[in-house]
Amino acid sequence: MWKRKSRKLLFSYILLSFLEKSWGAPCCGSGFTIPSIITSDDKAQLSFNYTYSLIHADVLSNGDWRLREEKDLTEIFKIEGAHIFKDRFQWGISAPYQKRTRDGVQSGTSEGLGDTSLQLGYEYLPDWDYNPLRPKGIGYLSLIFPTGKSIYESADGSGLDARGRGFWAFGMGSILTKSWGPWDANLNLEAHYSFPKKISNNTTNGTVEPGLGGSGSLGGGYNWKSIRLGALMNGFYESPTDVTGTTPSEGVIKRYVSSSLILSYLLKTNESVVLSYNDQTLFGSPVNTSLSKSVTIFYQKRWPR
Amino acid sequence: MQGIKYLFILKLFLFLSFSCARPHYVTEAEREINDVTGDCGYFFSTEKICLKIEWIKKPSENSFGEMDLTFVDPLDQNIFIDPLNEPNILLWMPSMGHGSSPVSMERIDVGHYRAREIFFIMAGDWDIHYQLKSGSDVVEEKIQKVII
Repeated sequence: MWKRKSRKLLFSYILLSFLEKSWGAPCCGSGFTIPSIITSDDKAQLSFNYTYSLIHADVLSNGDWRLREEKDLTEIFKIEGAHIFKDRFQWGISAPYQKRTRDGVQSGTSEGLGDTSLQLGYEYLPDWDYNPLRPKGIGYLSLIFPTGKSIYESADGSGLDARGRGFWAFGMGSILTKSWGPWDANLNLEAHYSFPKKISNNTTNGTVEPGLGGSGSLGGGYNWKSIRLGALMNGFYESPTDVTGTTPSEGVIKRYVSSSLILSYLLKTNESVVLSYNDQTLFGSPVNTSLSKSVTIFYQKRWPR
Repeated sequence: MQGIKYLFILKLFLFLSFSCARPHYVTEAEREINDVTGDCGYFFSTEKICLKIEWIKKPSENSFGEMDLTFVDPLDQNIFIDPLNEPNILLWMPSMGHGSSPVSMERIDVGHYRAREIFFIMAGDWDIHYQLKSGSDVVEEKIQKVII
């Protein structure tokens, strides 16, 4: 009984590993979000998180880095929810509210809704018998709504008010989780397609074509009593964003690797808090992006089946 | 079993070591943003006119830039000429597919214009489009590639 309960708690922790998300160039809003998915044995979950993120450097398309001298801060308040239906299906929603503060000659503050997303998941690989080798697998579909203003709609062209990518996007992916005693591991693979968008502003009149992207993460953790210490590495890729119209241009791929240290604490059986540190400057060979360092505080409430 | 554990830790260590980022930082002094003054500078064939560009103040992360634009006769570059169409500057970041904040343009004298509030909203590869516009239509443009 203890073993079963212990494993259930471990799975609850594992899902907290997925709170990290992709941060693209802040000018252009965040990238594709890792979905709000229930990987535990619970019926529903609701999460609130706050992220404090500072840009450390810009990476040019040739791979050179340039340090940011002026403060460029993004704060995100996000609500995420997910609910099981028909035993193995689940839906989820993610809604971020974003505030950006920038120093320098174009200093200012802008805030508003970021891009929201809906997910539909299916537990295609259940772990009812706690098999020692077979992981638990959940596949999912995601739909991103461009509710955040994008840089293409920026009122003054400065991008300060850009809080989203600005594209409708459709994605699919799979999460695998497994635990062995106090250890756990998780793997998430995801691909998405962002749809072209017609734009008309001071600088151009045409179509922006973002295309395909994807991400993959590998994480693990060690559980001790009510505490879990975990780590996660997450690689992101976006195909070039081409523009046709009055200012035609060919884009360059965007890629970076995000790494996280995650400290979780189980308040009660169905309530958790997490503190995580995320750094995009440590691993990989980033190209054509801005790299940030961030801290996230996360609270989650879950309802058992 | 213990051997497998140590082998896994060694592999993980090697993987993390080889996947570490190796940043090559560049400074503002290494930017590639130059004047265009040689020969005719940029030649606009629609108006048969030369454009020369000289930075008064290069933009940085914490300051706007300013530049002088001089339109001259290609046959005698001591003769300054106002272009028939309206001069305009557009900043464009092709690698990401977006622009920057608008640049203001003021006519100082015959054939002499000053562009102000030049600012690149992030570091990277940028195109400066020197345009001659008729209303919202671009009659002709020349593109200077710069690295900010």
